[in-house]
Amino acid sequence: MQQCPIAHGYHPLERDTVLDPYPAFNRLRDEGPVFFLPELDHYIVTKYDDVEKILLDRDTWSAANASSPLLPICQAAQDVLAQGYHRVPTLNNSDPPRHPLMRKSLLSVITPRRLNELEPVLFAYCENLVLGIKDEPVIDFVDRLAFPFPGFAAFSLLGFPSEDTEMLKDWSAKRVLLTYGRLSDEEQVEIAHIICSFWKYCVDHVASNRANRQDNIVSELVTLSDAKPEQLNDFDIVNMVYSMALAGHETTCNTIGNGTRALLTDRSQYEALIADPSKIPNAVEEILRYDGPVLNHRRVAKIDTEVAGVAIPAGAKVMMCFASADHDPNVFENPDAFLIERDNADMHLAFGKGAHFCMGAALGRLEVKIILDLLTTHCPNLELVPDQVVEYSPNALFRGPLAMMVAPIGLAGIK
Amino acid sequence: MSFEPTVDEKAFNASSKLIRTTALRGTPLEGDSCGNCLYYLQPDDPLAFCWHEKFQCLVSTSWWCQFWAMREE
Repeated sequence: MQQCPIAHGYHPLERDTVLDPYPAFNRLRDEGPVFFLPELDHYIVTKYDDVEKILLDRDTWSAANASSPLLPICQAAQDVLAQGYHRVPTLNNSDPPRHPLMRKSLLSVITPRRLNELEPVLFAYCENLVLGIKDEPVIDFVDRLAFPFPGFAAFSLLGFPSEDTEMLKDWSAKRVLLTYGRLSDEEQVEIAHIICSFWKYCVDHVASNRANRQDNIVSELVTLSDAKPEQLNDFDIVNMVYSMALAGHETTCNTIGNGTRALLTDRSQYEALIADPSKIPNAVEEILRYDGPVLNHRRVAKIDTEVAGVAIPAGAKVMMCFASADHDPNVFENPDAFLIERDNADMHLAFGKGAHFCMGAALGRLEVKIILDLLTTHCPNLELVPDQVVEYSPNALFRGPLAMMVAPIGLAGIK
Repeated sequence: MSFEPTVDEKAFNASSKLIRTTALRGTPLEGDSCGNCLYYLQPDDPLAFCWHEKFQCLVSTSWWCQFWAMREE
């Protein structure tokens, strides 16, 4: 085996990398596709084939660290969390034998039938949002569309009250920063308190659904646990709700923001969708490939192993760069070009692969499809406001614009 | 005399892509397989049509892919 290469001047939390990670990924794939980053105590894996192999090999790789804080949390924040936050590995961060039971439980309630029934509700909600902005000169696209629509979708499924949406989205953004960002001790303590509130919110929500069954997946999970207590209990359900309360919307919000930015940056692609809406499904896949919502995901080695000839000892942590893998020229021709008709766009790893394939993928795809359908119908002149610096949350996992100014009636209409 | 198989390159590439895109495997995963999947059209048969939009072709009960969905009871 080769000697392990150490660092290459790359850090996922450096400002330039947060704003645009792709130049660094391109360089890393060429210079040293697997290397150790001491500041993060992770091996970084950048090529498609290597990332894919890790995702499909559960004998070698555990998902136990997938939701763990990227950087150590200060003792004061840990003390706060110990009082009111009791998450255990359940879905994306669990392994067999627990993971298949939990996954199957959730798949039994997030069914294709339920999504079919939800589709007209989502369409109507999004249509209302789009009609509300279509005649405005300039709006913040994230604030008016990318933020509220996925929140409505996820929280409808979960049965969270709509009046809690702003609070939950704010909590989610802070949760991301604590887990995958770099914060001061004071910030960590502040967000630790928020996480405890978030956890309690999920506990109370499951209890409320147990007391009064409603038409949402939490009540269905409670009913399932009554029928199969050996498979699922309320503590499991709280863990699932806590997981979905972030994963169910943050990623789709980012996909919509990233995708719209890509479509409007090369406007020929947006015009192609207006001319032929049948291209929308493949455009969704190309958005996920070109600038997906999840930059990286993590695993820990269960045994001594190697990746691309680099020795990885048991217990070592790896960071699989999905966003880099999806720009790997060995798999995607001319990968830095955004091409909505790319014929292998659906080979992207934005949803992961294998046993941990994203359970929200169908819902996420549906939401992006709906919003593109409505935008191309009602906002054919939609343009990006030029010369703006689009900011991104400084975290190593999720990627999406925090704000993005667009002109629904076109730039000519506002001059 | 050696035998050189004639391979339809287009079909080979399409099936390679299908296997890769769906994480298709020839054995069940933790108790789940095509045989107990929503999309397996004839649950009592060892081979049947999978009507998932990614497949639309013949599969076996013992296979599994990441689009596995629970059959409704």
